[in-house]
Formats: sequence, C-alpha cells, structure tokens
Amino acid sequence: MASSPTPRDFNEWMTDAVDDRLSPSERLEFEALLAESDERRAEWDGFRAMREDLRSIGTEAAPAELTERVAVAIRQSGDAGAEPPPSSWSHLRQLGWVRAAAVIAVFLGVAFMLNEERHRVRDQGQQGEPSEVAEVLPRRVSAPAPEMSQPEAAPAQDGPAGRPARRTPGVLRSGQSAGPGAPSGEAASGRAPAAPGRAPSIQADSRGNDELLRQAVAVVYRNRTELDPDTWASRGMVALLRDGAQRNHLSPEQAQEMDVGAKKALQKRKREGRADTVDDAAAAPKSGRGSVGAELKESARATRGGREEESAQSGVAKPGQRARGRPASAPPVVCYVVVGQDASRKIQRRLDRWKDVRSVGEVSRQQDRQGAGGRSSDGGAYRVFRFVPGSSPVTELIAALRGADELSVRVAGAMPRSRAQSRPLDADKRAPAPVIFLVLER
Amino acid sequence: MGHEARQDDLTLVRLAADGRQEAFDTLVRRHQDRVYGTIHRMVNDREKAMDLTQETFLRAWKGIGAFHGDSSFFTWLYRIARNVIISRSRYDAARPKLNVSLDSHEDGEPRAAPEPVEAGSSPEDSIVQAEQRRLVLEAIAAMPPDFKEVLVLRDMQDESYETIADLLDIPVGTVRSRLHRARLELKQVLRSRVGPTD
Repeated sequence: MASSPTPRDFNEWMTDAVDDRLSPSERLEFEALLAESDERRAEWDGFRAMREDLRSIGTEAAPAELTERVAVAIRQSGDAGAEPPPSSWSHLRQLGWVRAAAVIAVFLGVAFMLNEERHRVRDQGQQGEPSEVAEVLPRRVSAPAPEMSQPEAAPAQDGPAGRPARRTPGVLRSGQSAGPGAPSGEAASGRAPAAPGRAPSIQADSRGNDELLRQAVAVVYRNRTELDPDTWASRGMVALLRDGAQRNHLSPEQAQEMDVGAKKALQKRKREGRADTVDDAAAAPKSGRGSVGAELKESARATRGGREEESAQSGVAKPGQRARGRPASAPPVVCYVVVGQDASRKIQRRLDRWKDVRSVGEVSRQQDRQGAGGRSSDGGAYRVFRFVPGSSPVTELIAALRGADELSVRVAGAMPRSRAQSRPLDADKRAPAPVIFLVLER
Repeated sequence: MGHEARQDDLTLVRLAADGRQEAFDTLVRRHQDRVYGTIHRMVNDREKAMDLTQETFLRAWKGIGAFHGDSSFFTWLYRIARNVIISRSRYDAARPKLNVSLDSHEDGEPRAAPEPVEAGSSPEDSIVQAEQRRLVLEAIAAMPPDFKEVLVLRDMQDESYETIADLLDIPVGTVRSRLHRARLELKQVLRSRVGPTD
C-alpha cells in the first residue's frame, strides 16, 4: 500500500479491513495509515459504525404463520414437480411413437451424412499436406467474423490451381466461408480435419462468449504483423478452453507449477523430434505461394530480424543467439480484452496502467445475450483492446480489471501455459507464450 | 451448509419429489428464516416478504423435480427467490398502484415496520434507534438490486464472500467490489440524510 493512498484506495482498504480480510502485515500498514491522520481515523470509525448498525439490524426470523401458509398453498397447488422443465425427450413423448421414430430416422440419416462427409474431408486432408495451422480450427464455428470476410483476410485461399487451398487458422477460415471466395464445403462448414492425437478441442464458452472470442481472435489474426512472434502462438491462439478460465484462478505457486508442466511438455516434444513449427509447415513441399504458413514465417522473420538488429545495436544480445534454439526466458503475455461499448471508457482508464494499450478492432455479438444467461447491456458492440500486462499474474490482472467499477470480467477464453502446446512463430522452440482473452461487460 | 446437512436436504428433496409433502414442509421450516430474512430486507415490507417467500417455496415445490443436487438446496432456493423478487418488481413497475399498503408512507414508498429496540434503553434512545434503523432500511431499499443484495447477504445475513459468490453465481472478486461500492453508496446516502454516522 502506498504511504499516501488516494481516497478510493483507502475506501477499498476499509472494506477489506471491516471484513477482516487484510493480512497481518496489511493490517499493520492500515493501522499506521489511521494513526497518521485524524481524518482517516474518523472516516474509518464512521465506516465501522455503519457496518455495526447493519449487523445489529440483521434479519428477522420468518413469522410463525409462514410455514402454515406455505403448506396450505402447496396443498392447493397440486403435486410436486407439477411444472418440471421440459426435457428434450418429453417432446418426443408428446409426438407419439411414430413421429418419434421419424425424428430419430432423420437424425440418424443426418448423422450418417455428416460422418461420411467428415471421413471424406479427412481423406482429403491426408492427401494434402498436414498443415499445422489446420489443426487449430475450432470444431464449431458460429457467426463468421465480419473482419475476415474482407478480401484482406483471404490470401491463404490463393493456393495453386487444381489443388486444395492451404488451410488457415479456424477463425480466419470461418470468416472466409462467408467471404467472396468461399472455400470448399469443409471450410464452409467450419470443421477441422482430424489430426490424430494433436487436434485441440475447442469448447464452447459456457457464457455464450465463444462467438465474440472467435471474432476477437480473427481481429488479432488480421493484425498479426504487429505481433511479436513470441506471442503469436499459432495453435494456442484459438485454444480457448473453458477450463482455462478456471485454471487462471490460481495462486502464483500453482501458476509456477503449470509453467514447469508446460516446459516438460515442450522438452518431450523436442525429444520426439516432432517437426511441427510453423516454419516447418511453411517449408513443406506442398505449401503454396501466399499460404498463411509462409506469411507467418515472413512476419516472424521480419519481426525477429528487427529485434535482433535492435539487440545488436543496443549490445543487449548477440544476433542469432536465439536461432540456435536456446530456450529464452518466458515471453511476455499479451492480453486481449473484449470490452462492451458501455464499459470501454471505464476499462480503458484501468488498462492505461499497462504497456502498449491500443484498440485493435471491433466485434459484435450476433445474438442477444439474454438467451445466453447474461445481460445485454452493451448493445452487442464490443471493442478489442490489446496490451501487455507485464509481469502481473493473471489473477492479479483480472482483479485489477474488475476493480471497483462493477465490471463483470468474464474470463471466457484463456490459454494457460500448461495448455500452450503451440510454438512461437520463430523457428527456435522456446517457451510458449500465453495469450489471454477476456471478455468484460458492465 | 455442511455436507451432512446438504445430504439430508437431498434426501428430503427426493422424498418431496415423490410427492411427500411432509418432507417438503421440513425443508420449508429449515430454510424459511434465511429466505424470508433476505427477501424481507430486500423489499422492506413484511407482508410482501411473506407473499414472496410463499411464492418462492411454491415454485420450488412445483419444480422440485428439476433439482439434482448440483448446488446446495438453499442456493437453488435462493435463485428462485431472486427470480420471484425480480418478477414481482417488474409486475409492480408495470401496473399503476391501485391501493396503498397500510405499511406505506403517503408518497407510496414502503415504510419499515417498527423494529425491536434494545431492552433497557431510554424512551429517547429507543426513538433515536428506531429512527436510525428506519433510515438505514429505507436507504437499503432504495439501492440498486445488485448492491442491495450483497449488502443484505454480507452485512445483515453475515454470509461469507464465498457463499455470496455461490448464491449470486459471480466471482468472489466481484462480490468484494460490489460490496465495496454498496457500502460507499449507503454511507453517502445516510450522510446526506442524517449527517455523518460517527
């Protein structure tokens, strides 16, 4: 705590203090602050007195007649479970057996066709090159990202004639499916060819934010040339796993453990000699001109080259050091927050404490949030901010973003380090860079 | 609530789902104080709180088949109560007032019923205490629902941050920030009405 806190800080401290949620050392600091100023002491006494008033008022026990009133109301209402939520099968029961059989037959038929199609796509994928970027495709693609329908986002489809276009990351491809040069049915359907043992499963976000996140990833992809190759984790970028959110609520010690786990996984991959860097993919025999792999490779080289040049000039590090594959220290975390328009002004103030904060684009929610269990307070429009949170642990970051302004931080998609099974863009296999996506709403 | 109590609740829920009303009555007796207490502080009107508590239990009875024990029974009940309160607020807001409760001021705002005062206090103290309680309760009643809810649960029901987070289905950090803002607002409102509380 600073020696002279702002009134707001002091109020927050009072809240924690009155609930006895300060650590012993914080408590001492707080006491010292109170001793410094009579005004603060008076403020604190008033705050505490108000809390005591509330406590003394407390709540009342239910009136004695309530039990009987409820019992009578229940007797009059009928049986328990009179209004159960309709289950999916109850509709079938209402339809009757014949209709139910028809529904099942149609369902099986569709499932069979989808399965056939999936096999066909897989075969096609195996005939083509095993593109690394194809593995990151989300299994489910909702509304296409508006950004990706622009011609700018379509270079990856310009494969050589007569050959399937090289696949692009899922978010890009999902947008392309709505774009002018619509790809094959596989791409349009948004399904990924199976990559045995390595395909990440993209789960839908439970709060209905997956649509936003996919668009946000697309925005990030569009701005990829501005990204540090350390943070362009090609596969992890779309590894928006639901359990990632839970894992981010971790203590620093636990996060450290996860880092160790991620490094072990990386070492294991090295031992197995899996040639799965983007560079390798780009250099594969069938990679076409203008493929995403090649683009990423160029982008990485350009950025890396620039950085090495800078390093050489500043004398901090020798050029080429990293190219020998020496694992570097943990790369910076880049955080993207998807902020509802209503909340963007508030959140921008809070983001200012971090480096390189800038708006990278806008996304919108296609459907009303009410159906997804949330509030629709942002009119469906969201802004994507990028920033580098520095060394703050994710938990602190989230706490700071929440602050006291009543912003609900939905950690809708995140890539914890243990899940970062992707490599940075450059050839040397260094520690994976976590990329975090948060969705904030008022 | 402990694991045993939760287990016990589950047993009663299963019996109730089979139509055993006495099992549900036990559940009502077990949870009615907590449910009523919270609703009462939220709406600041005894009769309305009775109605809403009754409605809450009635809905719970009708939908008991949907409870599978994923959360505690009280959490489930509390969420029903929230919906009941919200529905009632919307209903009240959409309809013009046709009559005025005897519990209301002339301006139609609900008035807190006289609260018990500490035994042994002088009549003057009693009046001051009662007046202070009334002001606090009115201030709480006028707060936004989100603030009111955390304030009642934490400062009046003495629920832990974690329990509140579970009941409201929000992170603990949000509980903290919401509570912080609620207290600040309450402090400001009270200050504007009666001057500093200290």
